[in-house]
Amino acid sequence: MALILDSSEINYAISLASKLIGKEPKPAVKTAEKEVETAPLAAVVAAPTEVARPPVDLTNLKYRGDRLHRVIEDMCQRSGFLGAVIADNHGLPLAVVNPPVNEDALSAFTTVLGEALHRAGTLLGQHGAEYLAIDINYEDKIVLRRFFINDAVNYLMVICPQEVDERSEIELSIDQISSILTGADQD
Amino acid sequence: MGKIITVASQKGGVGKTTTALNFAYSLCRLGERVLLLDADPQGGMTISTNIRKKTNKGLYDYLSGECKINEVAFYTKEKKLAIMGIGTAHPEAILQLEGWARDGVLASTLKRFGGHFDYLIIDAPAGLGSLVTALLNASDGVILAAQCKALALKSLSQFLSLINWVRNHDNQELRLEGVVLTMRNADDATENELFEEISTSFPEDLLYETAIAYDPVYEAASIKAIPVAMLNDGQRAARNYFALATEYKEREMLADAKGEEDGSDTGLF
Repeated sequence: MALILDSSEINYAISLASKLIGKEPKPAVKTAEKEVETAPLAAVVAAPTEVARPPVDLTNLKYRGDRLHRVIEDMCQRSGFLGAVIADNHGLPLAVVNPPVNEDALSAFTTVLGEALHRAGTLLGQHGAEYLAIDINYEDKIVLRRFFINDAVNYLMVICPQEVDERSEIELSIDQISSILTGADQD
Repeated sequence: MGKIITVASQKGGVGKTTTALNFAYSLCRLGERVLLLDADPQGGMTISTNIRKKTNKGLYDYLSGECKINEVAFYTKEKKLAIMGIGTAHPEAILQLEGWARDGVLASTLKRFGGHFDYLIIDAPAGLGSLVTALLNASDGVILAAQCKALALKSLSQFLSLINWVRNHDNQELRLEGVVLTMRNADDATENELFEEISTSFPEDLLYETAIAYDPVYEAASIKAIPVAMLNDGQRAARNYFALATEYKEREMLADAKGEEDGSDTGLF
């Protein structure tokens, strides 16, 4: 099993290094147990395509938290996101992948940003603002998407490179997250 | 105009200062004129080379106009290697240094220094701050020092992002020279597995083939404030850095090689 090659940070480092050195990353490495795919540059920094893809396999996961985790983990690996968190309106984490800081602090922060998003929408007369993006350093941004489950607000926040067009990937993942949170995936 | 090479790392404690010192020493043994500059406000290089025996002044004092270059940079016993320390290092000076970094004063000074040597090797502070960014703005190349540990490797992307940002904004010519693995422990199975993964996945030429093996003799050299090659017991460790300098020069030569005939070649003389 790969020790770090599955990590989004390493895949991002590989894509950046390829760009800086001017050489393509080496082809995928085969190990005894598993074929490890090195994400090509395009997969890491390009927008996800609209091509239909199979849903994440959640059949073996009994608990809701595990299923949510699998969905956002898959989203991060597929799209080169550096991390993601799903939080409820109380600031509690429902699932976290690769948090840059303590996951409780991150989910609380997610909810604080969600409140700011709500207020911004209200103050600007644009009720229903659902999307917030902030550049957090030279290269990365955080993107917050607010969504409702049975009238309760929830948040998905991702950390990703600024050049990524993350919208379609986030919308696709929110469909899956919503079906897990409403229990529709178990029907 | 000499080349300005910054030895940097996002993480602290990975052997940047040791690498800058021994790499600079090895380049000078290969015949190059080298200025080794401590640009880390913590003054690791200043301490490692014991330059305070000569003067307490350094880069900060030069930038503030309090002294001339010959009062702060000194040749070592190896006549081709000169060293300049960080100088006065009180908090106000550090803030001032960051201010000069932001204003471009530091970058223009470094370029002027670079004109007098074949290589200006800079020991940068750890992290991604304004001082590091200014050093990268003034540099021709950057060598990243990293340990073969999961955390160090995962955080590489942060420094690569900064290099990318600098290239896209202020210094298009900045070259990522390569990543040198330091404190390598070949007896550690996990480290070997990590090494196998990264060496087969990162693009070719990113990692230097020469890795710097962990060796307690570096500590002995640090206590004596000399490059490891100057210790009787340090020859095995020094070979790592000679190999790194040779590999660096080889890559440089290959990068500069054009291989273009102009049709007028008529033999060597």
